[in-house]
Amino acid sequence: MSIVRGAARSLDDLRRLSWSQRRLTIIIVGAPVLAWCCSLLAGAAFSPWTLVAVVVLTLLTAIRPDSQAGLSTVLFVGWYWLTHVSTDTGDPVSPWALGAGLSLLAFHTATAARATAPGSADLDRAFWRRWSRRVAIIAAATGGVWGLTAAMASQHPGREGLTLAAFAVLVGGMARARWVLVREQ
Amino acid sequence: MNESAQAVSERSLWRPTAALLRSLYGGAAMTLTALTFGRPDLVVLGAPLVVIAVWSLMTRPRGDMNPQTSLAHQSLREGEATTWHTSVNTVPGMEQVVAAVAVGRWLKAAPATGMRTHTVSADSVSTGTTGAVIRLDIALQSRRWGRREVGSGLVAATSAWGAFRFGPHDCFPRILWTLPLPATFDAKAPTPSPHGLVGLNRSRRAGDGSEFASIRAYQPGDRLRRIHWPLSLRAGELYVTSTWADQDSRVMLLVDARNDLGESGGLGLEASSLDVTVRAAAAMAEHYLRRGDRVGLRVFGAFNVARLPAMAGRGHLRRVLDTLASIEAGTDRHSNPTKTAGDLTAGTLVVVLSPLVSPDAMTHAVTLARRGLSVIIIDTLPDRVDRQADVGMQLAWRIRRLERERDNRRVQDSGIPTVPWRGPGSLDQVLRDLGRRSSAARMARR
Repeated sequence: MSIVRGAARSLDDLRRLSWSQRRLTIIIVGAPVLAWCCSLLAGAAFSPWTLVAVVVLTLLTAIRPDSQAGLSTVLFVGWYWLTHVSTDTGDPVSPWALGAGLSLLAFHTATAARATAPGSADLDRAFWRRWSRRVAIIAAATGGVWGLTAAMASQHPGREGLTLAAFAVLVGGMARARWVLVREQ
Repeated sequence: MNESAQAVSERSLWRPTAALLRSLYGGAAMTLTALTFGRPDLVVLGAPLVVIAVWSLMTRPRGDMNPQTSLAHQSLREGEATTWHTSVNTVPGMEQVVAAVAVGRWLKAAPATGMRTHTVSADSVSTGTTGAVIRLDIALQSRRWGRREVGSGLVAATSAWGAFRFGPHDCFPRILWTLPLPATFDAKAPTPSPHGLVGLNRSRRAGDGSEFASIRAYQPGDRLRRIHWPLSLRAGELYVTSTWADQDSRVMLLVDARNDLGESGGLGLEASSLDVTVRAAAAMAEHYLRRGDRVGLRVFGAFNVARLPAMAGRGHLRRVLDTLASIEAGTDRHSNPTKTAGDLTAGTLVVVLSPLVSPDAMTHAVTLARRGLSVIIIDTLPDRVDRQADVGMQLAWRIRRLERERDNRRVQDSGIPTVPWRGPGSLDQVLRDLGRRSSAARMARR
């Protein structure tokens, strides 16, 4: 009975979402499914139950964006990629990995943005501008990581430690640059 | 407190959110898995999360926003609006502030959700401006009279990527008094027994006033400016113009708050019986006080409501409205008509405002009339109150209506007029009747 009541309340909450929050909810539901599709395109076998699981997890995230359902979704998509996408085909870093990474970026960003305000609250233009700009920066960085990983994997196959080290240097460099900028200001 | 302890305390005000944990654990899990299983493609999947996690941790806010809330007004008239102010201090790393106020049944907010968000300017965030005040205002319109708590709400703030959150901080409610908006009312008929010193009602005795009474021969003591010169010149002796004295009346409003029947939709919508009663009482008080009469107020059926003695002036109108706004229907089940009559003196016009569904109002009216006071009952039962969907309720209301009619007839037979509330002119006819009755010859009891 309490489950039914809880579900009814959740649906009511979703119905009361403001327009800006509805747009974010569409991204929350759509992005992990897109990541799942990318894994199919990268060579994963079709598995209906994993699609159901992804949809259920995204719906839970859409209902409760400030819960750990989002983390479960991210981990599930990662696990699915790891177990279903093979790298034995000679292409260790598929271009579809970039698509999946960007989908996860969209999912995480939309979920975080939705949790910043109650569902019926409207988000102003400054908010959208700032978050769009940041997503673009992270998307560009992800593209850079993909390019770097693909280049290193093709030149030094089987030396993933080197890839990881390069990635760590990239992230560390960005963090250091930001710290210096803030300190100067 | 030393500096490091204070820094820890300030940081603890900002708690990590599910978004930070997602980026941190999700990114770390994918990167470690990539390393363990030799899968560079998983680095690409986890890269955005890792970068966001690092970004979030580096921009962790610290400091107390010190949220403050206030209401612009403590009292309003029905339909008027006030503003709920929220102010917070900016702290480095704070990016978005959200304020939400509980919008009760009788409030209308703008924005309609009762929530407002504010994105801190990019300059303030990047330069780490501290101490600047951000204000978020939500307009609240009160739609029904009464005393209620307003402004219970939450204030929260988030950092970059929604990674850290301050609050939600509870805002304590404030008391907002909504004074009834008086209905339209006007009475052209004079009150039956004016007996005060000043006012607009013509008394039954001659004296200083503005209304012409007669022309009579001059008597020592008459003022020279009262001499009627044309007639005095023709007659060869002095004549003066006499006037009726202007006097004020004493009006006592007796409000029945025993029941509140019907649905109240707020100002401009459907009115319950208590809405009609309170707004009618406010209208009559405003009307008579503007004329210079003295108005008092007694309420029965509501607990802890002040008894206002008959007084004049605009300040007293505010007291009457405050008292009406404090009424809560049916909170007092004991009323004593003798006590209600209390210090009412002869010549007071008592107006009982009641939906007439409980016998108390009629008992009060009869008790007061037996003491020689002029009493009028105003029926404030709304027309639509008995339009019920349920057949059983319809039947019950029909029976109740019949009982009311019977009781009304009995009360009218004892000389107390009952009129339905119709706004302007509701009382004119009964006031004229009462005036005629009070000036008519009476049979004396021996």
